[in-house]
Amino acid sequence: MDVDTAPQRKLRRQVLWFVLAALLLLGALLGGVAWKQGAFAKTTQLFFFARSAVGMNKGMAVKFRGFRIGTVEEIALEPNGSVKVRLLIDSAYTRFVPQDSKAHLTKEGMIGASIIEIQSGASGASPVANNGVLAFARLRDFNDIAEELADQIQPILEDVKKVTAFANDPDGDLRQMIKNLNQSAAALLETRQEISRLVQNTDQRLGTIAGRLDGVLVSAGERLDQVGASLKTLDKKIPDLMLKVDTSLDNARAATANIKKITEEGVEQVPGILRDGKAVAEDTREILGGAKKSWPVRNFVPAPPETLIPLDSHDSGSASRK
Amino acid sequence: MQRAGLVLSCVPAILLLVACAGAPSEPQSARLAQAADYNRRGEVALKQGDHRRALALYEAALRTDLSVENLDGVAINSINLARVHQMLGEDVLAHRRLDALLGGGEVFSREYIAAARLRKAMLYQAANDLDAAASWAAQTADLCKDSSCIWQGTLLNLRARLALARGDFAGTLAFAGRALGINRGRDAREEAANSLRLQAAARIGQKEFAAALALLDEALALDKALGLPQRIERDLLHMAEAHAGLGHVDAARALRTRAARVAAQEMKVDRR
Repeated sequence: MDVDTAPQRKLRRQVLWFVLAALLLLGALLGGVAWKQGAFAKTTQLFFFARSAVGMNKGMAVKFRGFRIGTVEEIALEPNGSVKVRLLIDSAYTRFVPQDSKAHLTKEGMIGASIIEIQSGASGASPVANNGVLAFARLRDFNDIAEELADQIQPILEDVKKVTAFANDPDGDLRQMIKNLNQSAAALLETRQEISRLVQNTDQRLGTIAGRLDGVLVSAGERLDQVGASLKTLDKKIPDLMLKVDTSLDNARAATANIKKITEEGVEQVPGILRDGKAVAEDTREILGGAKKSWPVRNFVPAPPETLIPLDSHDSGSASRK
Repeated sequence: MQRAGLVLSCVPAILLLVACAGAPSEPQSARLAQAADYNRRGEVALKQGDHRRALALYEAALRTDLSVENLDGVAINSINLARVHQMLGEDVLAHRRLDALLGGGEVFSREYIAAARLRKAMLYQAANDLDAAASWAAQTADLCKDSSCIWQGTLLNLRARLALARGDFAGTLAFAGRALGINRGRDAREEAANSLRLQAAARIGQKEFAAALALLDEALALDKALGLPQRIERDLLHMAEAHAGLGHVDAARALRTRAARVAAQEMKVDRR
């Protein structure tokens, strides 16, 4: 028969208290961790439906304006082929999620993790209820933007390629033009040298001519002296001639002025109706001609005889004006 | 109202009856009527100064007349074409037209043969070929001996002009004097004015300036009445010459200015 001794019983009690304390501490630790993880927080269950689950996974964060407010709890394929995503949102934040809010699949930064971003709807709507359904849209990510950019850049790159090929083509217009320009520049240089030589030669010739001109001028001076003597003689006779010329010029001037005045007046006065009258007369002639050829008028109107242009003796004496 | 409507409805019927009842005139040849129409339009074009159009129309008239052997029409349009060619400075073509007519034998009437010869004389005279002109004038005179010849006054004026060109003032006065009598008798006022002007020119040549002025006054009055600017200008220039001969320098100058004014106005009207 076992009989516990007092020291043994005391030791057993101490061990028991230690285990109990350890268990309590472990339980408190677990409870603290669970509380920290939101295990005791009150949550609201929300749903959205997407066409594809690409980029989504269970446990991914649900954020509102950069703050985590929940997680993706479940992703399931529905019988109709759509993807049903269940979210658990901390009920404390549902006030930020009105009923018309939208869930977006996006990334945090260019290369960050994928998240579900909640975008608030119009203000004034009541907060979403438990088991509520949100609208879903997949925002364009970097890949989408890169693909779009690539689509836009592709034709530009092709054009650049063509231009480069054109510029590099040795038989192309650009290369030929540059070649011609080079040749023209060389020709211009030669021309400039020719002009320089020509100017130099001209200078020399001018020097020679100037020497000869001196002799000619001396000779001309002698002749001018002779002319001067003749002019003195003419000076005495010119006044009489000028008097006669003046009289004739006066007559001519008066006649010219009259002709000019008459011409100007005539331009204004000759009526334009003369020209119109010609057209009207022509029309009338045609109408009358037609009438005369028509029965019964033609029986009453005798044919006009053909006429001779009058023989006028004045015609032979003066040319007619046209 | 009913009666008025009945009368109105009867009008076309009455007109039809009148047309049918009228005595039918000589059947009119459409070709002759066409030729006459071309001829008349040519005359109008000539008056309007459109010589090329006149030429084309007289040509058309000639072709039409030839197609029906209308001899009078052929002669008339040939002579007309010669005149228009002359106005255009195409003397060779003018002679060709007349030669074609004169080479046609005696099929054409004396009247038109004489007219063609007279036109030849005028062409030569205008070209200052006085001998040829005198020759053709003489040939014309062969057909124009009596007063029945309608070209006699014109022919005498032409012979007076030829005499004047040779400086034969007495001959000029003689021919122009005879021409004046004939032209006045025929009331050919244009030719009468020509006769007066030729006489005046001869008088100026003989230094009888006062006599010349009297003749020119009459010629000027006639030319003004007929509305012939070129001849008015010529009259005024002759008058200026006569006044200058008399020593009336201012009067001569005024007359020359008047002549220039007339010429300027005439050219403006021609350009229209």
